[in-house]
Amino acid sequence: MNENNQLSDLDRELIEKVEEILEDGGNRKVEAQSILGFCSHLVETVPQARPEFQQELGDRLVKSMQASFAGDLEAEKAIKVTSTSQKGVRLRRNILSGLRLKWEFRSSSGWRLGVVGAFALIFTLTILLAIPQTRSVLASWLGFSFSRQDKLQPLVVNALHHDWQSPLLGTSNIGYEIYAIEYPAERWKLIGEAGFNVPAPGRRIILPDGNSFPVPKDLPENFVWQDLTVMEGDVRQLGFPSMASKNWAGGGPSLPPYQLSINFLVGGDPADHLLVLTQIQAPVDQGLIFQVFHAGETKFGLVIQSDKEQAGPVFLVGPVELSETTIGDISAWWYPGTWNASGEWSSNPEWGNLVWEHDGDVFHLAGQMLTKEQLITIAQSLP
Amino acid sequence: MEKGYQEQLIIVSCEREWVEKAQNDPLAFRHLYDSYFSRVYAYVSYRVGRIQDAEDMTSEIFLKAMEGITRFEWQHENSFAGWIFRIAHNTVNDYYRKNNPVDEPLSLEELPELRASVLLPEDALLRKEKFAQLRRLIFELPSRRQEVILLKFFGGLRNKEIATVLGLDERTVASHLSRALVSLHRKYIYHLNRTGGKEETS
Repeated sequence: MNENNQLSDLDRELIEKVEEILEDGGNRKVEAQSILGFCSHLVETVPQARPEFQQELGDRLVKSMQASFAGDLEAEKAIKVTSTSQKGVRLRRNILSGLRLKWEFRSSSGWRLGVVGAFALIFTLTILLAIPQTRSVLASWLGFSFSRQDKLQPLVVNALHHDWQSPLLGTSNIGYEIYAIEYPAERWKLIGEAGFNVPAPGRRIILPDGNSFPVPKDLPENFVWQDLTVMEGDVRQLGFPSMASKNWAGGGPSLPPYQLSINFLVGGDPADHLLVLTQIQAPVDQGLIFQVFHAGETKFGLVIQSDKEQAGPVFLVGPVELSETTIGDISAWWYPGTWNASGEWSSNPEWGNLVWEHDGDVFHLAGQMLTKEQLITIAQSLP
Repeated sequence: MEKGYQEQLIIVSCEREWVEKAQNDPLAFRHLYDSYFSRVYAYVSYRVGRIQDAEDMTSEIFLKAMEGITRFEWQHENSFAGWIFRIAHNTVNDYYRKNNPVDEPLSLEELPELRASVLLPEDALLRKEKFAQLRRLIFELPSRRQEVILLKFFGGLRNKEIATVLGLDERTVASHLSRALVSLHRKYIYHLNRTGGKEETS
């Protein structure tokens, strides 16, 4: 027992009385200036929402669920991003969303397409919207607006072209943090013999912070997903035990405050080749540089630094040629090699890496002895 | 006492039924939404203050709950309340981490309405002033105690549920609650004596 959980008789009596006041809804007659009178006052001081807000939000949620059950993903998405207030949209983690699409589509009114005769109408509209000369006029008439996304912000930059110094090499006084994960070498044995539950392919796992992690459905032969490590929260609710030990370290001046969530989905094959899918939810308005490093077959992680050159998250790689590719219709970057735990770049071609954005989160997929095509197949199967 | 216990059992049994139905029935989810909306909104309002932010965050919380309901597994009678308020707690924490809010006073127009009651029969503006004043006092407490007070009085959670949300044991929650109330009451009386019972405007 510590000082935080010692209860005196007076404490217990107070707690019991508070429970009674809460049950009565603050209607109990008590001396106004007593502590119980104050509790009644607290119970009475309850903010209440605008009824129209409560009604509208409830209606939207029901519509969204109905659309989801009916498989109408577009309708579901439209409801999801529309808050009842103008500022609601900003809460969605749409970092760089629509960036991989060449055009951004916004609704400026509650206009909706009717279902009857939709095919003919959609066909005509598609043709008209595809022609630049008619697009703006038509969009304006329909209540939509288009804006061109000319600048594609890279998610990966080459260290040679970036004003950057390795904090781990001790050459400068740069602030950095290291988030490292270590797995037991016998993880195959734990899963195979001890019967540990593992993340199911093709499902979205709800994380303790309320966000979700999409587990890719397709895996190369002999590979399985073995574990999910979340940065924050109680992992027991994930439905399987986490085998990893987490470690934070750092040095130099403190980084500016940032909101960051990093989750690792770990897979492998019986030969202990590693496959790691990293999900990063990072601020869009603040620059952060990530270096993915691997140390042996069981330890890996990220070195995190501030980036003064650009906003948003960016992966830094060594002197290799970056290759731009696509995952479906989404732009992605592929490169070989990895950093090691000492902050040195290793061009080891056995490591392939793919970086892209999906549903507002940035993903990094690193695979050992896997080809670019295999990594793309995995990435394409995110639910 | 016996009747209250029976009523509680019925409520819990109904909630379990609604939670299970909500996994494939939008109207059942609406029922859960209606049951929890006021409590979630009140809790969020105290934490963020501004009505606009409270509405945004309440939307976000229920959206997350809707997205996660199919994976929610009923474990015990406190689990659903604990789950939804854990989402609320994390959503507000995320908001604070992302926005680095400055401690600037809010105008009364920006604050949410308060329910009219026997103890607070005054007009809407005076009620808002009381809300602002209480919120200021609560925010002078250590953060853990703030959370316990808000989840208890405005989230309407039992100590066991609060323990689930905050990752504490139940006894620690009771201890934080007791100490927070004593401290808040002392601040409140001091404030009343200083202002002669009149509210300070923000």
